Amino acid sequence: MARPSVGYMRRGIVPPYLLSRIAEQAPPTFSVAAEAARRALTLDAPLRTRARLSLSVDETDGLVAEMLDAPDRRIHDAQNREELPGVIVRREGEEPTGDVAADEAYDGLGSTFALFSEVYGRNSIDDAGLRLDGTVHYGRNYDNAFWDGGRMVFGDGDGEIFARFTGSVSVIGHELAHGVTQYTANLVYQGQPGALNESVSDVFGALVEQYLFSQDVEQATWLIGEGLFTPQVEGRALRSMSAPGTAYDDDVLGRDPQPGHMRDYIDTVDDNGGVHLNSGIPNRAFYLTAVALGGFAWERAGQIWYDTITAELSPTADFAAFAAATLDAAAQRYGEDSEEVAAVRGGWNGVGIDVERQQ
Amino acid sequence: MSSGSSDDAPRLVLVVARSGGFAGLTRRWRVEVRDEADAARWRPLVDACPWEASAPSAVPDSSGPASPGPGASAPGASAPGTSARDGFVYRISLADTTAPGARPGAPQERTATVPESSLDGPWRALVERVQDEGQAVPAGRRGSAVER
Ligand SMILES: [Zn+2]
Repeated sequence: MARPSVGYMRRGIVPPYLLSRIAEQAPPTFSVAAEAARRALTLDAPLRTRARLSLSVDETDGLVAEMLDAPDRRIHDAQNREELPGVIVRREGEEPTGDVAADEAYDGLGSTFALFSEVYGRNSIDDAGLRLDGTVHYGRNYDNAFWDGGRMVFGDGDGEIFARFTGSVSVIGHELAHGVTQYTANLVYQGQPGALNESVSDVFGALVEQYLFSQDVEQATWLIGEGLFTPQVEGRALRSMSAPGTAYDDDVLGRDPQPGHMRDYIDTVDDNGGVHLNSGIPNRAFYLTAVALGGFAWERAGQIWYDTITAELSPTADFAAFAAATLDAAAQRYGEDSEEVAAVRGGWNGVGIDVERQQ
Repeated sequence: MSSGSSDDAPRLVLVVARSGGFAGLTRRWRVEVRDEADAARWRPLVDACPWEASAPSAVPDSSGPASPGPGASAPGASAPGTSARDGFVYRISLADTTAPGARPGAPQERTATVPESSLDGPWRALVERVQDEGQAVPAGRRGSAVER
């Protein structure tokens, strides 16, 4: 008889009412499922906020029940005021609200949870099932999305330059990844470590989108915030990871200022020392690494970056220190002479950063 | 327009530069105050702001290691030094030719940096007034969207 186990699953979140029904009414032939459902509902409650039950039949016709981490989402509506959290409009497992922004936030948080849980085995932002809180309709014509240290907040945009910020799952993934960084490497939000903090969010934001749509490195857009500009703006997205500096070129907004190489590094006092500008450099290093490895970027390049932020990394790491840490992570997981190590080294070299292992 | 010491030189020039945010786009708004009646209307707003406490060198670099964990994630807590990310950063610049010791062509200059999470009270009042009454300064086709 198969035993409940933790494993991978892409689809099929079992709502609590169904878990209850399985637990209470499953026929004797489904005793494993019933037991797993009871565990999901009761025994595990203090350990995990949510769990999913996956039922399948294996080669020997045994019923396989898998216990999986599941998100616990809560979406609020700020009703166009700049006050948090706003009124609650959708809890985990509830039906869509019909409000596009609220439902996009709910779905995007689910897609982000799925990447971290199913690919990297991370149970939410803190790896302990932290609830995912989001607020939509923040402010009036508000041109931004941000992470306030505990929740993701999304504006509707002004309608002339920006549309609503929930419109791209890469943005939702970016904000949630700020939470992951806060609980892991905790890179300080200034200068180079700040640009790395931004880049990590772009990397995982892009990977959320690629994982959701099953895109390999060739199919992926490598754009951050595609569709956030209104049609009046001459631009495809807010940032390009493959070609930083080319995402937009518009009469009103000017040109995308991101550098993609150390020779173009921007020294500025604005934007916490250019954290959203110089992030183009590590963004492109990740892109180059992923393309060199081919296939799905979340599998090896993403794993190396995930290993890097969850290992010993200084909160004040600069680009060179972070690059060395990615090389260490690649060597530890795939071996000194692996193609992964070569790809990582090539990625950083491609943006003007020579990198050698620290350890 | 804004330089020189001619009679029509502005008494006050206020510039708000909003950088950062998810998009990393810098936007600017500018107000030039020429007649004394207008200046009298602006001065209380300007003087109410804590310029010294918000001078760029006085502002924490918002990097004080925000300790990870539940304590670091109180919703709404997003002052500098906490874990707020992608918030706007406002840089407010004032050139005042009527301040003590200043004269046309040699204004007293003051600059403050205020993160969005701290933009309340007099700073919010001043910034919103500049955005409402000032001219948006376009980044333009030629220039990049950032001031280097
Ligand atoms: Zn960010």
